Amino acid sequence: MIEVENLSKRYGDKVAVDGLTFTVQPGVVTGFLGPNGAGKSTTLRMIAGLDVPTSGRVRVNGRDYRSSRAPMAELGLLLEAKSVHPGRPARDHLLALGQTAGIGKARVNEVIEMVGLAGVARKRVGGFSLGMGQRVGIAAALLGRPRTVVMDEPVNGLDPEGVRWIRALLRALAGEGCTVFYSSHLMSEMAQTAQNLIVIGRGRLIADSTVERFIAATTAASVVVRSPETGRLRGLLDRPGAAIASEGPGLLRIDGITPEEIGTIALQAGVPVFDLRVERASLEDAFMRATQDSVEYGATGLENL
Amino acid sequence: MAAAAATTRPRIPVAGNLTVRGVLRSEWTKLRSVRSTWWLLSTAVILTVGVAVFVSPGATSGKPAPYTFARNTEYGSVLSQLALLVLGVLLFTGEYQSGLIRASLSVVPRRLLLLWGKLGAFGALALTLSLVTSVAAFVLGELAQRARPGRPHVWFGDPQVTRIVIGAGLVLAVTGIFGLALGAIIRNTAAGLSIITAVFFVLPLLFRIALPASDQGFLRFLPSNAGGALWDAALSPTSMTPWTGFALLCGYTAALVAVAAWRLRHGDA
Repeated sequence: MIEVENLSKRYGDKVAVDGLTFTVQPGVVTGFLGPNGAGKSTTLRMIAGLDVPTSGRVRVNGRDYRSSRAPMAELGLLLEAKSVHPGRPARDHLLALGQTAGIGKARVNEVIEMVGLAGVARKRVGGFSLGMGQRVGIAAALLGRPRTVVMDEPVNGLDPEGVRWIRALLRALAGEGCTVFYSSHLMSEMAQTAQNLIVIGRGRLIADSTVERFIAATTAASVVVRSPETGRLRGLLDRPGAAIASEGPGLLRIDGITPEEIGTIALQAGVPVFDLRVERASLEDAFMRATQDSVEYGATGLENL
Repeated sequence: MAAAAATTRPRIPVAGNLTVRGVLRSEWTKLRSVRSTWWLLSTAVILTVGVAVFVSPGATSGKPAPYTFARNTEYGSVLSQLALLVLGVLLFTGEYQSGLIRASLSVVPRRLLLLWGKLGAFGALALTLSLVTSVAAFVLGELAQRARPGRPHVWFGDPQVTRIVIGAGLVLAVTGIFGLALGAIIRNTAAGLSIITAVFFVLPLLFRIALPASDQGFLRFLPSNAGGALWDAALSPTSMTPWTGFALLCGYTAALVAVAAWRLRHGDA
C-alpha cells in the first residue's frame, strides 16, 4: 500500500506537486496518468524517498520508506531515466544492488533469466539498447521480491512482446497481493492493464477512480444506430437534450438518449434497426478531456508544419 | 480475490535487512566490476614502483642520508596521488552522472550507509594497495641501488625511514578518500577532476612560481603539502612537522566527508 498525504514539491518558484492525496491499494494494478510535466516522476521519486517533499508525507506499506529496515523487501523501483553505470556488466549491477539486502548470485541469475537477459548478463550495460536497458531496470525492481512495485514508464522502449510481458507481469504481481503502481503514456496499454487510476495535472489530483468509472464520468457514451430510414428516425428522436449526427449513409450517432429509448421509439414507429450499440469513449479520450485544462507543455497545432 | 491469490502462491521473501555489511559487499562489487578501478590502481602502483626502481637511484647523488634516500624512493607517489584522486572522485560522480545514484539510494534509503559503504570499501582497498606499493617502492628502490657500488645500505630502522615509507602510503590512501568526499559534494566528474587537479597540482606550482619566497609560508597548509610533510619533510624547511601535516590532511578530508554526509543526507538525490 502507498499512502500519499497532502504531498507538495517546490523547485524554487516552480510547484511540481501541489497538495496530492491518494492511496494505492494492494492486489490491483493502479495506473498513474498525467500530461508531461504534471509531476508524475517527481511524485514517484518522493515515494521512493529520493526527492524530499516540501510538505506532506508518503508511506510505503505503512511506514516512511527511508526508515525501512528491509527496503528491498518493501519497494521495487524502476525510474524513467537510466540508472546504471554504463561500464558495469548487467549481472554485477544487479548483484551490487542485491547484496545490500543479502541477495546472492542465485536470485540475481533467476531474475536475469526472468527478464530475458541471460545471453547478455556479462556484457557492459553501456552497449545495451533502450529495451534491454529497460529490462535491466525491471530486473532491479523485482530483485528483492518487494511487496510494492513502482515503475515509471515500464513499457518505454520495449517491443510488442515486451509490452505484453510487462502487462502479464504487473497483473501477476497484483494477483499475488502486491501493490503495483506505474505510469505510462500508452493509454490503450494502460486501459488493458490497470484496474485503478490516479490522474494528475499540474501537480494536482484530477481523478482517483477505476478505469471504467473514470471513462464514464469524464465522457458521455453515445449510441450508434444503423438503419435504412435514418431520415425518419432522426425526426422521431429530435428533441431538446439530444444531439444527433450522421456518421455516413445509414448511420446515426446519438448522444443524450438511452439505447432502450431509441429501440422503443423505433419499434413503435416501425423503423427497421439493424444495429444499435453503445460506444464508450477510450481511456485516451477521457484522459484528454480530463486534463485539457492542465496541459503544461502542449503543442499548438500543425499550421507551421 | 487478491488475498486468496496471495495465499495460493505465497511469496517467499528473498531480501533481508539492509546492513552495513551488505552495503560494504555491494560497494566492493561496484568497485571491482568497472575497468577504471583497475586501470587507475595499476597506474598508481606502476608509477610509484617505477619511479623508485628506475629514477630514484640516479637522482640520489653522493652519500645521502637514509631519509633522503627513502624519500626519493617514494617520490612516484606524488604522481600516483592523481590516479587515487581520480578514482575517488569517480566513485560518486560516476553514480550521479549515470543516474545509478537513484538506483543505489532506492535500495539504500538510509543514505549515509551508502557513503560509509563506499568509504569502507574504497578506503580498505586504497589503504592496502597504497601501503603495499609504498613498501614495495622502497624495498625495490633499495635493492636497485645496492647494485651501485659505494652506496650505504638503507633499511627500516634507519632514522625516519619507516615513517617515510609507511607515511607515503598513508598519505596516498587519505588523498583517495579526499577525492571520494569531494566527488560526493561536487557530483560532476569534469568539475570534480578540475578541482582536484587545481588544488593538488596547479595551485601549489603556480604559487611557488608566482609568489616571492617570503610570501610562500601559507603553502604548507595546502592539502598536498600538508600530506607531503609526513614523508617529504626533510627537503622543505617551511614544511609542517610530519604528523601535524598529516593530521591537517586528515582534518581536511574529515571536513569534506562531513559536508558530503550532510549534502547526501539532506535534499534530493
